[in-house]
Amino acid sequence: MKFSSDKKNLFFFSIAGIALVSVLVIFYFKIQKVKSTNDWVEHTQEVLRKSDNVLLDVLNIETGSRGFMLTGNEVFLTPFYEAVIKIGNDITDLTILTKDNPSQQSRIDSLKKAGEDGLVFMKQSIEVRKKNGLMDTEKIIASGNGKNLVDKIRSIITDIDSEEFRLLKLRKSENEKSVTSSELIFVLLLVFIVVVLAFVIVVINNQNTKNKLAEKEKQTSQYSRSLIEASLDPLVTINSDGKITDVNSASEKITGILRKDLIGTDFSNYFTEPEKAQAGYRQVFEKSFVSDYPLTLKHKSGQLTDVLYNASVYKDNNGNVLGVFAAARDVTEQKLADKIIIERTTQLQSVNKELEAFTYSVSHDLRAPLRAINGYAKILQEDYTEKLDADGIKSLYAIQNNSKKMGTLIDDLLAFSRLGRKVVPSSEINMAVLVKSVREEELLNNPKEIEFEIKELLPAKGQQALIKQVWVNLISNAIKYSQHKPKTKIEIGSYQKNNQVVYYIKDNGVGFDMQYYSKLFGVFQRLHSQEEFEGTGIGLAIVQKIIQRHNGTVWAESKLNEGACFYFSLPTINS
Amino acid sequence: MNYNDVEILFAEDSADDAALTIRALKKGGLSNTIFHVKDGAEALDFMYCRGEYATRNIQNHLKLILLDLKMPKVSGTEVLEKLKSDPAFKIIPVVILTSSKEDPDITRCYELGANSYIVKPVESDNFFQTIKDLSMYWMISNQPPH
Repeated sequence: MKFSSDKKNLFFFSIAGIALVSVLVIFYFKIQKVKSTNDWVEHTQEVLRKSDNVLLDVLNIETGSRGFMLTGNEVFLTPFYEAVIKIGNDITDLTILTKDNPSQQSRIDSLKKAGEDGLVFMKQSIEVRKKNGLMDTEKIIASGNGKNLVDKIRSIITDIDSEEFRLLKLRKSENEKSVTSSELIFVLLLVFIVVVLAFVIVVINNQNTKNKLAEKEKQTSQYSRSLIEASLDPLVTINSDGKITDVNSASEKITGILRKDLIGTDFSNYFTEPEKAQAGYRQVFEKSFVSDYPLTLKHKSGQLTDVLYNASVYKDNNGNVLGVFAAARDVTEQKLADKIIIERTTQLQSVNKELEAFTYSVSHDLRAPLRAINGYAKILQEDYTEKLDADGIKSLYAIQNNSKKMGTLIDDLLAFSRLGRKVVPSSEINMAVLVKSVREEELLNNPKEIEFEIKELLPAKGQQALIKQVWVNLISNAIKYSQHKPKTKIEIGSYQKNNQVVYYIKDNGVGFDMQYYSKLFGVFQRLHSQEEFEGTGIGLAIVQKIIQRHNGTVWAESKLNEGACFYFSLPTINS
Repeated sequence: MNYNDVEILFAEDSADDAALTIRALKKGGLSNTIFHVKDGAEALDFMYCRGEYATRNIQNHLKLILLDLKMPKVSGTEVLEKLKSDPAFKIIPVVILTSSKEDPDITRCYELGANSYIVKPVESDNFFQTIKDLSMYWMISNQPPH
């Protein structure tokens, strides 16, 4: 059975109220009972007083009559007569007081009769005294009849009294019991009321806390709501039947339909592909969520919006699924951007293809005529030397030299452009072995004595063939630019810096002027003349391009005629 | 000319390259009969004894075909593909001669069954030496199927 918190409170207050009222009612009746007991005590005392009066009257009557009879003095008869009148009233009062008690009534009847008998006897005795004098009167007194009558009355009154005493005792003890139980009940009542009060206080306090919590919850919910409303993404909750249970204003905007008209309708109604939308939220109920589910939202005007839905189920405190919360992200711009990226990629690819075709063409078509020039010059040299003079032969050599140089230039240029296009996977390079092999190759081509000092070379990550090209270019440069020195000294080493390994190669050659440093790595840029040092000016440009493709850096320092030191960095094997 | 005497077919669109190559072959001591055609279409006509070459005996097998790749009408690759897919001709060694290392078709040529792929050097000494070496290899060292 479930109660809402309000109903629960009402229930407890009713129980407390009913309990309190019943206790008050019980208390009231108890008080009434005590009060009636008290009344009875008073009543008993009244009866006793009246019976005492009757006894007093009897004594007055006896005393008065005796006095008169002994003295004949009429003075004694005054209290006698007063008492005669009074005793009648007192007995009547006593009758009225004890009318509820039949045993007392019968005693009072006896008392009344005895009294009347006594009065008759007293009046006769008084008459005898008045007529016959003291002598006869003594006889009457001596007979003891008068005394017997008084004793009888006295005995009856004693009975009445003892009955009343018995009743009084009974009622007093009842009264005491009643008072004691009343006190007990009163204390219990107090305790009960205190308990009820405490309970009520606790309940009210609880209620206040609950109210405060509810207020806080309300504020939180208002805060959440304002966040939901502030969202530019259309947000919606869906029940298990696929009906919309709530939306934010972004949903109104994107569909052009008011919140009240959206709520209660089928979620799938608002998409170009309702089945796909249904499949989407069913998937959420099955898998608890979906990510980036593509759909197209329909505005009532017909305008379409491409969205990606991210949705998850939401649950109550017991983990029961209540529905699906779904957020749509307008991806129109993203799609547009994607389209542009695809277009540009296509363009780039076609440009790249054109470039490849161009490279092929350059390679093929420039080399063919060069080969012809070179070949025919060779024919001249072989078959017609005797017909040429010294200048002619010199010119022939110049033609061959230049066409050969142009061939090298073309090859270098193509090699450089190839670097930008090839993608070769990186691997760990044993740099010590690589440098050793390059050194051996270079030594084969150079008869001059070269002193190599190779220090520890750390391994690095890279494309071995390309890095080999770097070492070939740098070592051959070092040899080339040191060739005019009496002895060539080359030092090669490495050190680690952050996540990179830095390699260096130091020579004792001609060096370069640092003011032209900016031209050092430029394509076809040379800091020395062809006559001084041969070259196409592509070697260092290739080095730089290869190192940059490895996310490394290349730099150099030198002083003219004091040698040069080239550095380059590569990622370590762990990076 | 008697086409049935031809032992080497040489397809090359460039007259200069053809002249230099033939000179290099002769200078290298090659004595076999070479026939030069100027494009791929002519090369196929020759092989299939069509048109001008109708008199040639198709049974008369060649010892070597030298094929330039970049030729008008029908390219060297197309000629290669045609010959290597024909059981009658697929056994004839075909050497590709090209001007460029950049040729995107090198892998394709080997896939189609090219027996060799040679880039003609620009420098004359190298060029002559290369051509001489290739003729020596294919005509003397190498044992042809026939």
